[in-house]
Amino acid sequence: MFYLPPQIILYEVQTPTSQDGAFVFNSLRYLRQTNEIVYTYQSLENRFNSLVSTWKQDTEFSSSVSEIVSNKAYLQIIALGEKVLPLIFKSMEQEPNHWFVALTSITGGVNPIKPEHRGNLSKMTEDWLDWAKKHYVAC
Amino acid sequence: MLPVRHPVLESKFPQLSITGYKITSPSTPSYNCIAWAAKDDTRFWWPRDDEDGYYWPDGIEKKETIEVFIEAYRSVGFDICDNADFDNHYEKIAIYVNSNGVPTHGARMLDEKTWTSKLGQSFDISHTIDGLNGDEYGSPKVFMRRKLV
Repeated sequence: MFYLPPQIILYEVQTPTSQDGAFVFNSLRYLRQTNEIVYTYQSLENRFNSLVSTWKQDTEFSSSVSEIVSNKAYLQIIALGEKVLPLIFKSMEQEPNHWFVALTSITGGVNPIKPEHRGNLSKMTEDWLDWAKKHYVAC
Repeated sequence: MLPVRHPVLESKFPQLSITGYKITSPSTPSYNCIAWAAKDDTRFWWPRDDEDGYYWPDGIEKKETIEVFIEAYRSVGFDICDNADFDNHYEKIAIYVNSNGVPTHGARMLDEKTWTSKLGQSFDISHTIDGLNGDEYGSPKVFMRRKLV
């Protein structure tokens, strides 16, 4: 088996199954079926975890949402694109955090947060996870 | 058990190691200092577009200026006052701004010498009014008060 950069492997096996981006989850399932692919998935997860750690450390004492979501590591997470959505949702299942701006950005403007839940991170997180369950098979 | 000293906190807010502080809650991202100053520990207040999902009082402009933050606190009963002297008929709050005049932080007075603050997504502390002055939050710019019920 010859070496391919992780990004190329990822794109090689993407299999769009719907109009709403669910292919991301399917591709990760395929990727997990071989050793190379596990490496690819772990690379993405490691990268994500590292960026999350930096983001949390940088913004721990900030109350400004603008500062929190303009942090360099946060922007780098957004730049990872749709393939990072499962990791964000997995993180949200463990604890609420300020993922809403990233999710709206990555999904191209989706906002499932009910007006009466504004500012309540637990409720906002539930609204996003409900949305994810309806739109992504693996969440 | 809450830690007595927090090295990272003291490195971000060097004044605290001089003036003293006490950590009074566990860390949580569920509410922020702006909410906590208004005694709301259920929501994260910040003036953002509706699509981002954050709470800001209805009818108040969504801009990061001291004038807008004053209006936000007016909407829950506060008025500007000219000092941070303790008055047991009122609860008082302070709005901090950074060197660019942008609001960064809110704190609430507990007694003659003590204020309470939620530090971003971290924990609550009690501290003196000068304890948080510095690069991170700037310093108190406006004091407001609300009649105690």
